[in-house]
Amino acid sequence: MALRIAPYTEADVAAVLAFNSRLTAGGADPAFRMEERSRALWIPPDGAGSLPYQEFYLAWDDDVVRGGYALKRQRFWLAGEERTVGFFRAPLSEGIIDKKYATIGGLLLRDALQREPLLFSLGMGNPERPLPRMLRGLRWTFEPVEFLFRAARPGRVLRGLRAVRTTAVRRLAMDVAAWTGMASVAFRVRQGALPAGEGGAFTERFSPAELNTLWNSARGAYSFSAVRDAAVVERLYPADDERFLRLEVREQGRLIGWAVMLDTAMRDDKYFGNLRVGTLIDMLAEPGREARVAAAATRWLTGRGVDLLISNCAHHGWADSLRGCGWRNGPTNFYLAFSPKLAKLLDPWDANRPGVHLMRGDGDGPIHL
Amino acid sequence: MSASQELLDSIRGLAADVLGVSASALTAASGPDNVEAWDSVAHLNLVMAAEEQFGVSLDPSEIEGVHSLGELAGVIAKHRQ
Repeated sequence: MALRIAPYTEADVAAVLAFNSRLTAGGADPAFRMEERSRALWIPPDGAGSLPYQEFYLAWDDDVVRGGYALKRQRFWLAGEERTVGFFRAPLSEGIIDKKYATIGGLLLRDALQREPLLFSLGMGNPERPLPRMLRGLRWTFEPVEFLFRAARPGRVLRGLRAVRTTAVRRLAMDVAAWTGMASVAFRVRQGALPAGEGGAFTERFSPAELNTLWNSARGAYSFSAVRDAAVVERLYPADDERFLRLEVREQGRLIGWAVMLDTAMRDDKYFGNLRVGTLIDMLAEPGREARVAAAATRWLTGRGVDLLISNCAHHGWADSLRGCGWRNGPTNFYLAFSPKLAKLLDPWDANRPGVHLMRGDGDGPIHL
Repeated sequence: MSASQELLDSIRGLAADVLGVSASALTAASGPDNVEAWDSVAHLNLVMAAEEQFGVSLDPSEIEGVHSLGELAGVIAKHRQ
């Protein structure tokens, strides 16, 4: 093999189509296909090098594509200063159908590490899949991220989840049943009423000055958090993209926090069937105001009429705030993994881990939702 | 001791650490076929550790082409010239 890894350009699409066709013919899970466009739909490069952006790379064996991956580059608040950090996403290799190419996955990861040594991965599904196993083998810091849910319409959620026949979802359905008191009497524990208090207000566009003030006051509370200033928030969740639902939370007129959410009517989803799912993908608050923002987001999403509220939340304080609003933990398939060089900057890990603020917006964002 | 022997000894030490075996058990001929702990992840770990220690960057094809410590030492020596 004369292997090389290079950025994905528009001229490469035909080779990617052929790669995907081989995966299909080889019986690969349809979830694993390379993007058939070179430019990412979510946060593509803007030509001016503005961060964050996401781009794709392809592994070539002569003139044949054998794999690829996505790399998101973003500024992070990391142990008291801003650094550029990479997010390694969606690596795919022909090794899934032909063992001859089994080493390509590792070469993709190494390529990403050469481009961004401060690298992390987030999500990844089953921890026994090849990527999480490889990351653990390479001594990455690896641990689960909490999955939290709140059943806004418990009856619909139970019926919806029971129709989905996967073990993890069945476990989630049992959790919903237990926490909403809809299972046996032995499990009759209620998830509690919606928290009282002032609600948040939907906004089509955040005020940049207020977002920047809030970010400057909040960042010191985190050991590791994507920069969430006005420019970044606008690139991640553009005001002209109606999928992103923006909520601002005020106290005596002052912005004390915000949340970004998605409201998705699922269609035969392998986890959520046909439920209407509200996803809390990002949040920020003044230190000490997390519970108010979590409560406002919970009330607002529930009021929209979703069946189920979900979130992935690495930060211990934010997770506690959601639990305080009746959210409960479900079985997680969401993991974070930090490269050794990134983890070293967060040493001692045990002390810094609670301050790691990662949510879905820091990973795949709206992809798959 | 020749420069190439010195390089090989350094790589044996590195490999012993990465593979979790004694350096004295490793030779230039040691590779995935005769060292049980040398799987694809250990291979990548070893190459990345060597790249870092010797300040070189191997091509993907070179990484694929390494099948023993002697070959790894040869590729690294070529990059250091």
